[in-house]
Amino acid sequence: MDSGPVLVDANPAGLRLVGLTTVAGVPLASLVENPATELESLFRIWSESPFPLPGRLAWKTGAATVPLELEAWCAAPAADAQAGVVIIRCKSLAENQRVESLRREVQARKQGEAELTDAVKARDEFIAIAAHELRNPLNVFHLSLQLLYRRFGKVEGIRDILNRSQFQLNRLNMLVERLLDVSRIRSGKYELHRETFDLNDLVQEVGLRFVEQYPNLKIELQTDGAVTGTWDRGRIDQAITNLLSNAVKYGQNKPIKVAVTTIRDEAVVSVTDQGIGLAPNDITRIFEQFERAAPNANNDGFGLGLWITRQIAQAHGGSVSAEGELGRGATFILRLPIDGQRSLEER
Amino acid sequence: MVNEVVLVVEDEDQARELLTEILTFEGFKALGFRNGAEALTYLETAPKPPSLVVLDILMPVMNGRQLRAEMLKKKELAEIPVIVITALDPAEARDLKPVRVIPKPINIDALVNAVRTVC
Repeated sequence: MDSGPVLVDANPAGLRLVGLTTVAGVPLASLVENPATELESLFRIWSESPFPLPGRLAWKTGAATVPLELEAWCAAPAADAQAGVVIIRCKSLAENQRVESLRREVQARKQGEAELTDAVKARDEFIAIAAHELRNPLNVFHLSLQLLYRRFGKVEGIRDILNRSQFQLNRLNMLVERLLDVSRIRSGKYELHRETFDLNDLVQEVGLRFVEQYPNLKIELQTDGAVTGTWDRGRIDQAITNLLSNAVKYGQNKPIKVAVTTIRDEAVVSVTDQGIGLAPNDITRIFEQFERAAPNANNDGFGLGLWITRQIAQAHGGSVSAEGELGRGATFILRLPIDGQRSLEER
Repeated sequence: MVNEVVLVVEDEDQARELLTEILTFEGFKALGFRNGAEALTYLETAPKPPSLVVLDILMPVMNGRQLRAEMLKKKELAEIPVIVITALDPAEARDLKPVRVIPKPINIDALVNAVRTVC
């Protein structure tokens, strides 16, 4: 029975294409997907054409199917008992297909990324507007309380109510400011406004603020001389405030030590408490967003303080780290390059 | 210090009223204005310039930045110290050349201290 055209020979690339070491005697139909449909009529046309005719076929190689682009023409027509010869020159389209599918994937990913960026941007804008709109009513609330303090602050009983309200208002205010900070950091609007100052002065100022707020708090300041550098005073104030707030929150009302020193070309502020301490796996975790050293502690934040502190340190080319053991207190260390300009260039 | 005239330019009614009331309580003659245009009219017609302007930035009609620009055009108004109060990032107030920027919500002790330093 006639098995149709058989292959006589193939060049090395052709052999690779069909995945065989030799093709002599292999029926063409055995290599073509759906041979019955078109092959017979196609081959008849090829075997009569002295010119290359373009076409397409799907080639079977093992379990896979490779699309081929081809040209075929008659090299020697059939004559009497002599079979005709058809040359098929083909090119695999698998590579093109792969490129096309990669291109589609890249496009899909780009689109996904753009959608994500838009969503993040919308969220950040929402947070910024929300925080800004919250500040105005908070402002009126603050001012009202302050006026009440001035009018009735000396009245026993009323003063307590005012103090409680002020305490909660400060807490609410801090939460709004944290939200705003996060949105600023996320949207890249976290510019530094550098000025030259002595870190000791700032630490003292922040310390005084805490002592005013927590009259029973003991803060010991240690210094070995001026530590002057060029940093964003407001931001560094915030970083040190965050570290001290943390020490107050987890320090079990024991004295807190704040040391300011210079180590090589870095200014170093360390805040040490004698509180609940840190488990080994907390030491890095607590600097992530929404994390806390002790989830059940009496906390009043989102767990963003240390994350913001780290962003501030890094924006200055510095770092913040923690040391400690469970039950043995913790030390938080803020390191800032003394030469602010150099750190900017390095970044 | 007592009866030094301090202008409070703030569009939010309650905030403006509370601020003038607190500053009055602290011994200043505080006058409130709803926007830059109203404050400018006062500044241009007052027989004596005020000791200080407490100025919000975002306001309708004429905002704080525009009022400050008008003030800086005239020598006698340019010399009046300005404390900016703002819900914006304090860094955005720098071009107003203020003696101090107090962020909102206002820490009133910080504001009163700043006013006392100037007046």
